[in-house]
Amino acid sequence: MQHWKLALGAALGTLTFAAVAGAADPPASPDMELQYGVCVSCHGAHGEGRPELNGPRIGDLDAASIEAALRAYRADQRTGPNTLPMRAAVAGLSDAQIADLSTYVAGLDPEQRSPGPGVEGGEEAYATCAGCHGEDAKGNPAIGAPALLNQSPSYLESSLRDYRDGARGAPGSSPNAMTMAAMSQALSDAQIEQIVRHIGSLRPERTPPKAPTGSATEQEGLAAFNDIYAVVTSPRCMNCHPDGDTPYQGDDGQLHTQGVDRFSPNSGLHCSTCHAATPSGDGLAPLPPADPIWSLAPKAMVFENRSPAELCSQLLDVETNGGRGPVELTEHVAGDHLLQTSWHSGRTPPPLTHQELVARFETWANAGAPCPE
Amino acid sequence: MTTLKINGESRQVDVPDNMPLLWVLRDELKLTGTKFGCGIAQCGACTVHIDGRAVRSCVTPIGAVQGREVTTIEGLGGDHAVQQAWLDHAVPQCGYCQSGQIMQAISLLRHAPDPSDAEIDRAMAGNICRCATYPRIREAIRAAAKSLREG
Repeated sequence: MQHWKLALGAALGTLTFAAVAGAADPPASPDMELQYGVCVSCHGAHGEGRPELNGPRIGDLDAASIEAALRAYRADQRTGPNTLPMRAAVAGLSDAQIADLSTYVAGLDPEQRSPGPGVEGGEEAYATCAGCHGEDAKGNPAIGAPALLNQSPSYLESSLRDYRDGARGAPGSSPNAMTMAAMSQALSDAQIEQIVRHIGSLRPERTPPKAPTGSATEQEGLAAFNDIYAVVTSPRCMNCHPDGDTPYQGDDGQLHTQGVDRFSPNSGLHCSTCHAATPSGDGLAPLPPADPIWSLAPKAMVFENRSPAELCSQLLDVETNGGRGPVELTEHVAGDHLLQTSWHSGRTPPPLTHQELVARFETWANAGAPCPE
Repeated sequence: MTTLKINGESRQVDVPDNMPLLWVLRDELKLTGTKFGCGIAQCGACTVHIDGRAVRSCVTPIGAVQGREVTTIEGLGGDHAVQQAWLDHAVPQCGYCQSGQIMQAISLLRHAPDPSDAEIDRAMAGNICRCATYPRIREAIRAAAKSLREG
């Protein structure tokens, strides 16, 4: 049940305001601050505006003007090219929420903070993101803003580019995605890099790679890797890590039906088009439940047609494994959410339990991650 | 009570959280344009859009749809460029699968405004037509793409 709840939380998004505030709420109630959090990215924390994002100064306006504007956006009466974020932002608001929000904004004092110095360094570039994702990049589940802190730099970068270039967040997408597209519109490649580097710099200092403790012998390490190899090459892992463009299904390596392949999502056919996050009805659907971010593993993570020696060195390749040493790999295997879905698919489970797999990784790492010949 | 946004309207239904969206659309809301084909996401007849993305409504529990935007064939209004192309090319034969075909085609055209034949086949591979109207579906998608591009 947890998966779809998570997905639901994300989908409800920035713009579905969880708390319904009564009209008598004081302007500065915590609820209103939370709701205004969505607006901060473009209009600033004190309504001072962010000219570099075409975000006008709104803190000087009176409540009636703000309310009229918000209602016009909600009714799609303002349709210029810059109105997409506003229309997305107010789409789910009730009359009462618009009234409360207007009162809150009218009570802001733009003089409390002058507009920032423009997007120069990482911190300034990230300021736009901080409104929803937090200054610590730990996200804000209440408004559907995911944590970015430990996300891989390459993923962050490609996501931002996709949003900017229209590959994600096109009109008709979820309000959150459209907001991201609007936020990313004005970003240069250099700014995207600055943002990604800034998020990386927020991470607590790591000491990679952690040294093996030496508490396991090489022989024990090699035996543990054998077991790891058996899991990784089992159908639950390999079906989505194939050496081709088509996923497998079942336990016998059949090509996935319906002609789906690595490129199907580019044509609007996603894993989640057919694989719901949770089963519905009385278990009518025999499809394994999908994590909403399911996709085929990238080429650098192919598990098929790899000898134990090849797979071992592939797993240890810091260029493609997210810069992880053996200890970090173990932590990843222990904590990664997507990886754990392999044990909850309603299919033949991998040959070890998840706990056993983590224990094998520990032994292997403690032995210095030896690779078979 | 679950609140849904269907075709731009807010609707409330009192059903169990695990009831498939298709059941709710057809039996509770009487939006019968979306069809039941197989009930196990193998045919595509029940395709709708959730937040703009094609989804098989027969395997989508209603609890996962709360507060999200659902668009069904009724929400297209009848004069969508893809629907017009369907008429122009007389695509439907028995017609049963066609609302799902149209919803999937719109999802394709959002991702690929000028799709190649290979992209059309890839996107539509999960939507089955027992009358085998596939050649006309391809033609209509090409025509709709052109008409959408030219506004």
